[in-house]
Amino acid sequence: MTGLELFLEYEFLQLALAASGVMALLAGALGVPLVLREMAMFGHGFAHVSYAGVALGLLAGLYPLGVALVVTVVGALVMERLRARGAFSGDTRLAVVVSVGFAIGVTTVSLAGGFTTHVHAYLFGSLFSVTSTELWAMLPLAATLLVAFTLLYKEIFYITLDEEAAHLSGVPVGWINAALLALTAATIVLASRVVGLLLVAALLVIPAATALQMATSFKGAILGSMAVGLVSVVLGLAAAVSVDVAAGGAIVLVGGAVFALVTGARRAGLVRRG
Amino acid sequence: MNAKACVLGAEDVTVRYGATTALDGVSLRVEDGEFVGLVGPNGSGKSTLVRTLLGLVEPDEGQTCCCGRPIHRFEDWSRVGYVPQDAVHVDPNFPASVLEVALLGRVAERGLVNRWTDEDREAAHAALERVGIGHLADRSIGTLSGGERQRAFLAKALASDPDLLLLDEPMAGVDAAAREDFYNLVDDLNHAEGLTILLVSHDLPAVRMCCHRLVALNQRVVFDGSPRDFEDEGGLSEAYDMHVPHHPDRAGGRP
Repeated sequence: MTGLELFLEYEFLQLALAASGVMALLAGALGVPLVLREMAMFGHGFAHVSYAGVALGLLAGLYPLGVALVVTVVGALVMERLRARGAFSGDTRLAVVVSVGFAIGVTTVSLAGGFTTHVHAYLFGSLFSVTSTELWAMLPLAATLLVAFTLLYKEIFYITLDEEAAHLSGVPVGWINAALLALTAATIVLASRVVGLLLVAALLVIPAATALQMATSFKGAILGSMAVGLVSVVLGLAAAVSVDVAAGGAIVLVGGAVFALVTGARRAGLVRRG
Repeated sequence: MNAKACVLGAEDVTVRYGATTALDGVSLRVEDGEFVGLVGPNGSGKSTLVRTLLGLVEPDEGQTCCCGRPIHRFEDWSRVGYVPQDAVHVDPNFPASVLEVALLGRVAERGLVNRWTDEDREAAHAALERVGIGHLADRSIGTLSGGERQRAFLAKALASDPDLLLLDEPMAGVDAAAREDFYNLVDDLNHAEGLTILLVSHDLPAVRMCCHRLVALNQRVVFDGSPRDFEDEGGLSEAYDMHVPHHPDRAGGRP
């Protein structure tokens, strides 16, 4: 049976492809402003905070991703508030927040006597067990992001270039920053089903960093980042099915390979910016 | 403060950062059509004053106004063009064309959510032509030289056709030839087009050459007058805490 026949035959593979595709598009779009503003570590931070949410959800017997969603979005808004007040001018304080978030998760898991199987599924991803309910939960998020980026394109672009000047032009910088980071946090939580919490930041950073080496416009960078993300999940998923390796790892490795290829081509003068 | 006649003003403004006093009872008034140079050594509070005038820093004491309104009630930001200190240091990999950067100067005019119109694109193109880089509109901002990049940000500040221009050390890190061209350009914007300008700079000869009025700051205003009188009246030595012998041939300044 060929790879394509496998995907046509099994619903779990179709769900995996659809979920990872939606997440790649979301993370690709959100990653560009994050990387340009040197906030890539925030994605990593949200992933660690969401681990605490997953652990609390498992401990309380609630739906872990739901609890993680609430905990991570609230954590993201608190971190944005601290960032706006200059608390994260270096990366040290962010590292402290990230570590404490993860430690809360670790402690909660140990208090409950450990739920190793469940926790591993969130830490390393469990793409082939994505349910149609989870896929449907991703769609409103994708629709919200599409509307936000379409309506607020010039404002997001301005904030990314110069937050202070955007504020002076009447752009509600605080609200847009909070909305973007809340969307990023929600994306991180849902994308953890695709590649796992430990690798989820890579979905935000690698496609954006790849596209930024070629793009000459902000819109081009966003579309390019989404395309690189999509290529990574399709090829990664195909590789995972073909050679029976972890899908999350394969997706990130493909993304890393595309990044290395573009970097090499750029250094060799084969790829140029305008 | 007579708020109606105030294009840009500060009255008894004090700003403290913890135990450090950045501005100590500073008063400044910029009249319509004036070209005012603001000088002072590093740490003298120049940028803090500009940021306070723009409402980005809340003063501990005193008040500021812009275009006749107290700054906290001022909303018509399309009347103000601002080129920040670090504009020239934009990430060279930032994915934006020069035209896209100039278009951002239209955000206040266009309003939230609304998309760019042909009028915005024409205004941005016109602003780029005005600063002499219309031919670079489609180039990536990161591929420009420091001087060209600074002109692109000046075009952004001019794209909404403002009444007032604030330039915070716009030529820091730019070579001498580009600096001279830039100062000639802003001089022309004031002289020929009547734009009110507040220029913050370390470049004393340029400030003396362009400006009607020179204000020297060292936490407080230590000189406010004609550039010709700056050295004669001890402004230079008081601002920079040093003794400077007077050279009549070096005195400049616009009448």
